[in-house]
Amino acid sequence: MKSSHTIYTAIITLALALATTTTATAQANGWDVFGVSRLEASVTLEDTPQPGSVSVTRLGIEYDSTGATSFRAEASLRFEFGASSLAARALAAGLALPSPLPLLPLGIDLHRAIALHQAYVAFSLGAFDGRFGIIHLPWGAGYVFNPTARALAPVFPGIDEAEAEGRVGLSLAAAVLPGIAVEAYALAEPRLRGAVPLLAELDPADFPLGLRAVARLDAVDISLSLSRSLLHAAAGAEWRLGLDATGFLGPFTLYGETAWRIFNQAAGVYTAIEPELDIDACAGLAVTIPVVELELRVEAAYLGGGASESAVYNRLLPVTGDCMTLARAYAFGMLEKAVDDRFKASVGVLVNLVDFSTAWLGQASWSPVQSFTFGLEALWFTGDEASEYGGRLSTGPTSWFDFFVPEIGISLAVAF
Amino acid sequence: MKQATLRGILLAMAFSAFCVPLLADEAGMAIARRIDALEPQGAAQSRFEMTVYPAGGGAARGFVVLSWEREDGASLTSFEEPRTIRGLRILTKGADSWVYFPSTGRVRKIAGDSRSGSVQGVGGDFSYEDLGAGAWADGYEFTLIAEDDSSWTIEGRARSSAAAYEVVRINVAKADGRPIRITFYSSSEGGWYKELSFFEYRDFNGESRAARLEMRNLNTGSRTVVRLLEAQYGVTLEDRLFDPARFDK
Repeated sequence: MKSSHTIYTAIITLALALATTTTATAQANGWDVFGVSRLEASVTLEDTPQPGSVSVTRLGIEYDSTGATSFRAEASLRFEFGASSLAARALAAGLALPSPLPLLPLGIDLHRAIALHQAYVAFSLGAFDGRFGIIHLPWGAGYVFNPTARALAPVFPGIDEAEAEGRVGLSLAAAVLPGIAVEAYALAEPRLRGAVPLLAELDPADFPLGLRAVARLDAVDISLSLSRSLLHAAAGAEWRLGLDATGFLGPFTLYGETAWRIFNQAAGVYTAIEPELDIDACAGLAVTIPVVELELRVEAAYLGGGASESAVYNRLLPVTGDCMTLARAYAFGMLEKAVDDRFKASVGVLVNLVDFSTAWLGQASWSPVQSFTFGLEALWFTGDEASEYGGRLSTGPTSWFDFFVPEIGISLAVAF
Repeated sequence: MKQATLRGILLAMAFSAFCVPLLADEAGMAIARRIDALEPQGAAQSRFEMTVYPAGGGAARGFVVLSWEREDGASLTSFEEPRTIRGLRILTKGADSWVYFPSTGRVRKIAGDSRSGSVQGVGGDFSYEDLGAGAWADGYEFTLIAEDDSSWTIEGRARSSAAAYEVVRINVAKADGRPIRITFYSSSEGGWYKELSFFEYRDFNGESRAARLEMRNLNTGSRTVVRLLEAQYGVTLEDRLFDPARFDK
């Protein structure tokens, strides 16, 4: 225990020293600031339509991305009103505030969410590259599901991973041979962060860690990983062995990814793998359909921790953030058409293969000039009342809460 | 021996009016090699501005790109502008490409079949192949097809079916052996569909380079203008820039 504290202290001291040095140099050379502001207005497609609006401003700051040291940070401020606010809809349905309260994400006042997506110093020392600060660790080959990425909070499948909030830690990579590297990370916090710090929040024995060997070669990109993840303070850490690969077959991009839970630290013992429960996996393909130049993507996922029947869904998992999916198997399909960088349209569907409910997302965007983008978006859900995307949470004899409400909306984004 | 032969062919071409005509394919290949020979030796780094003029009008799009190229044809490009994709990098080595997305830290391998397509949808009329192309004489079998007082026109057929273009036609200035215009053919695009013109040759750190290039899509009417802002040649570049496991770091 003592030695692990000493090692952590040494690593953090080294990284802070590097960060301080970089800052001094960077200020002499100047910084660059960039960002985007987006305003969305929507209306729910219910018996009694409800309006909603969201505004998001994302700011980025960067220094010298090509030198031996660099800094990059991206943060966003988001406001939600009316039906666009999950909290507002939950309260209207008679649900109490999420409990326990300390599990509320930092910065949320139920209208406003502040997220620091990234803020890190990157450095290169000989054959070693590192990042220290608030970092993303986007492991895996999947586009919608990433069973090997277990550092950040779980996100709803298909959500732009740039929206995810980074975690505090250090990542290091060592070049072994051209195209081959060994990467490792250590985080100072669990995947889900409570609003109130607790002494018991992080035991050194539970520190999230990851190690992977990455080979980016001509024929295939492949990586083998081992990670110890901690969902939140009250959960036990778990170890997973992962493997992912991306390759090509003719015009098809093929990829697959799997993570096997090999050890549950809270239980304190190694247990034999039960494939039904301990394996997560996904596989998919992408291809550009000739002539019409439509990009088609399909992906299927098996998530061992999910429910095998709708009767045992725990519908509060997405509220607490523990898990954004309920079932054991999903399929995803998407068609996208882009005309240079001015017009883009896509339609995607996520299918719960346990109850066959579906979540549809249609999007179209138009950028008449480079910095302005107008968008049109529609969300639609199908499924019976016991299903994930068509179902509802009963909050009383005559009240209920719908997690997924069909809506249509417009947006304007301005980049600067 | 080969060098002496090449010099002889080049000399013969330079004074072709007074010489016995060469076989068309020998002349074509010699001209192509001359274009390649005029390419700066060693690694290069440059910064350029790209403006995309869409087909049918509409507001132009501007991009500023940093580029590093190695002698073996490997190239790394990093976008400075627009801000929405600032820091996005594309590494191209041979037939393989990887893209790094700075907002997520993710690296994705790009399908080889995408190489004829526009760079991440933002490259305008330039494809990955255009940005990372190697020597002309290595990729195409050239034939001299036309000649006038001031220029030659050579036509090259791709040696590999994996090439983005099946045929290219290069108009070359006799005065200095520099390309004036290149036309690209692809049967999947309906024939001759892109044309690249070179303007304003000037000195960039000891190398004469076109300061302005214009790529026109003959099918759609769109065009993309590239202005070379800075360029250095024969520089030493770190291997890590071209390492697929490190270019994102």
